[in-house]
Amino acid sequence: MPWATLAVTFVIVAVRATPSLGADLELERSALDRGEFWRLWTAHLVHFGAGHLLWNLAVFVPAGVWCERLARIRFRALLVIAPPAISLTVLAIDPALVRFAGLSGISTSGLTLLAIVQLGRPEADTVLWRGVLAVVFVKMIVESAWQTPLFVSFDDTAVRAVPLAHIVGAAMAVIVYFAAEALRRGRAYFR
Amino acid sequence: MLPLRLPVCVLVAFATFAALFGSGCTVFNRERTDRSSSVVSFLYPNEANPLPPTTIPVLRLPLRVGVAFVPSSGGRGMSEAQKLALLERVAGEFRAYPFVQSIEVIPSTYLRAQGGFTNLDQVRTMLGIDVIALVAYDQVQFTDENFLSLSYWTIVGAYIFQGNKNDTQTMMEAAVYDIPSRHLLFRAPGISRVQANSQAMYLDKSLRDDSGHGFEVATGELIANLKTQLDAFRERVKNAPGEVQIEHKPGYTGGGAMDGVLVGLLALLGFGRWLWRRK
Repeated sequence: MPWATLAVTFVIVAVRATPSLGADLELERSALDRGEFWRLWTAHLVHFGAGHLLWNLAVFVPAGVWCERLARIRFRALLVIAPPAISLTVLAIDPALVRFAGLSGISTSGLTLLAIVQLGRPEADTVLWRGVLAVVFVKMIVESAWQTPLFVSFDDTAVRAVPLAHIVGAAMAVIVYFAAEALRRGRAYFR
Repeated sequence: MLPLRLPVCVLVAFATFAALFGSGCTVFNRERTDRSSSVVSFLYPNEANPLPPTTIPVLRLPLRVGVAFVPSSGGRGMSEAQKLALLERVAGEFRAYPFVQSIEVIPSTYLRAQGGFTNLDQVRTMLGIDVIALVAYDQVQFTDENFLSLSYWTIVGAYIFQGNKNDTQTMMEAAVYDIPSRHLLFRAPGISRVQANSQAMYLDKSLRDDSGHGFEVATGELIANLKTQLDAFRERVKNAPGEVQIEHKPGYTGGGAMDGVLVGLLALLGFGRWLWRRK
């Protein structure tokens, strides 16, 4: 069973149903200065509206369930490593960003890892999974160039999309996949 | 003795009639008290037909918002403490919005009667606000006297019997303006009606209490309507971007977002491959 995906989804829905939790979980530069480091992880569980939540889960749940069944350890490792990596990178590279929340970086991460894992399997449909990677890549390029998401609109006009989170998410998937591969080959070599 | 008694009786009868008739006139009268302020009189004091603003408002998010009562035109108005308490209540409801950086409650001393946009520009410079919610009010109090007021003739009755029927009608309105462009962004009303009885000796206190209660209830409705109008305004901004221009100040809120197009493209890709492989 894809427990990690289901658990993350359950927590996200619970957080959305309890709006007062959001302020204590989202990523805030000043809160990190106060030592509230859990926000590096929990920010990805908070959403700024029903639409924001829906589309992120629409990618995360199927990609997560599939990926966790194919590469359980890698996917779960990604769920632990990618959130702080995304949080720290967006804060470091974009000094104007004071608050951040949303699962899309992790969704992109999961989708990218799924595509790479599939491409590593001999029976995989390489056209399909290369196509998936191409779609993700083009989305990141277009968003970064326009500094706006393609068609998403937040319930709140004051919130801006952060394409950098997707780039870091995808990069983390590549890193986790190849790090795990290197580890596996290293183990095989020493045996 | 008889010729002397007749004029005395007539005088007593006349005095009694005058007392009854005179007091009757005062007992069954109706009094009205008005207190009001007007956004139009404040913003356009000497303009019969003000020209509409020509520039598109540019809202730089997150916004710094001011909220203030428009100076009243004269007469008895609300006390400053009362105004600040109501404004603080309004401000408290909107501080949590992520597009609001801060809300300043502006005391009446910062605004002068008929100050217009020149006054608002001064407040903007002093307090660093972008948008201001101007709150105006109109409160009318009526006092009628019912049949119990007949007991007031006994003096003691004025302490005991509630011979006054008071009716307090309050209308509050908040108009939210973008100060640089002079644009009205949205507005919302709040109304209330408070009815109560009182004794003649406690009439002033009762009217003051009713007035305060009327403002409290109207403020509650104003807040609810402001939230509705704010939501409608945000929808308008999203659907008609030409109406209001949105910019972001450094220090913004970011959200990681997927969108329907990505999901659609992925679904289309999967479906296309499935069809292809079925051939």
